[in-house]
Amino acid sequence: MLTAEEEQEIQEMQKEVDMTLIRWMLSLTPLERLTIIQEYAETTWRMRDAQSIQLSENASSSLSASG
Amino acid sequence: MPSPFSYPKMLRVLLAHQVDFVVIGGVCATLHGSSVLTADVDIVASRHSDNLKRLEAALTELNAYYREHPRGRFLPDAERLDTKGHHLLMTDLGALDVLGTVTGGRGYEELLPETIQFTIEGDLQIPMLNLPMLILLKQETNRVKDRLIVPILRQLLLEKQEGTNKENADSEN
Repeated sequence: MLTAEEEQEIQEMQKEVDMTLIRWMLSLTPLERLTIIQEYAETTWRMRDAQSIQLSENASSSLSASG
Repeated sequence: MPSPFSYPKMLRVLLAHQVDFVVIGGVCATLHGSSVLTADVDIVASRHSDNLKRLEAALTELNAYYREHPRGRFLPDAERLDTKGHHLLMTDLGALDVLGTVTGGRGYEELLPETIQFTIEGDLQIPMLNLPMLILLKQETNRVKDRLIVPILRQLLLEKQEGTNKENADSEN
């Protein structure tokens, strides 16, 4: 349940929503919409993996330098 | 390089194993037409014992494991899945979150009346939440990332309603 303040805040934010993006998404087929988030998700997970590999390499380098 | 992630294939596996589930969250929002992006598929599955066995079989086919423990490779089985909590999994076809319940303690049975079938790829019928219910759940949660989506979903609902009204007006003329 939203408080009156929260409701007002959401209504203000609604005015700032980019309707061109929503209309563009609505112009696509459901499968095309699914493909877009699928590709986004894959990129996101690849970046997360790359970041964790980099962090682990940095940690190894620090340990080698200190050892 | 072809994408190893495939949400349609993932959902097909769940349906092929006759798992009772409903898609919620970002994928549901996107299928409705939201411009918000997400990195995983969220489903609420029935926690009936037979369904959990079917879910386990589907997850085995998808090579699912708990993604918080990538080295330990804890596998989701029917016993582990029988909770109200969230199971954050990685599969061969993408990240999949299996939820026992959502806000308000709502499980599969409570969400089922608010479910619609969305057809993609001609024959793939995906059970997912209707837009008003999705908005309600996002409003009820205290998570900032969910609350931020509410204005977008509300505008989407208005746009769709206006589109429907326009279609009706056109067909009347």
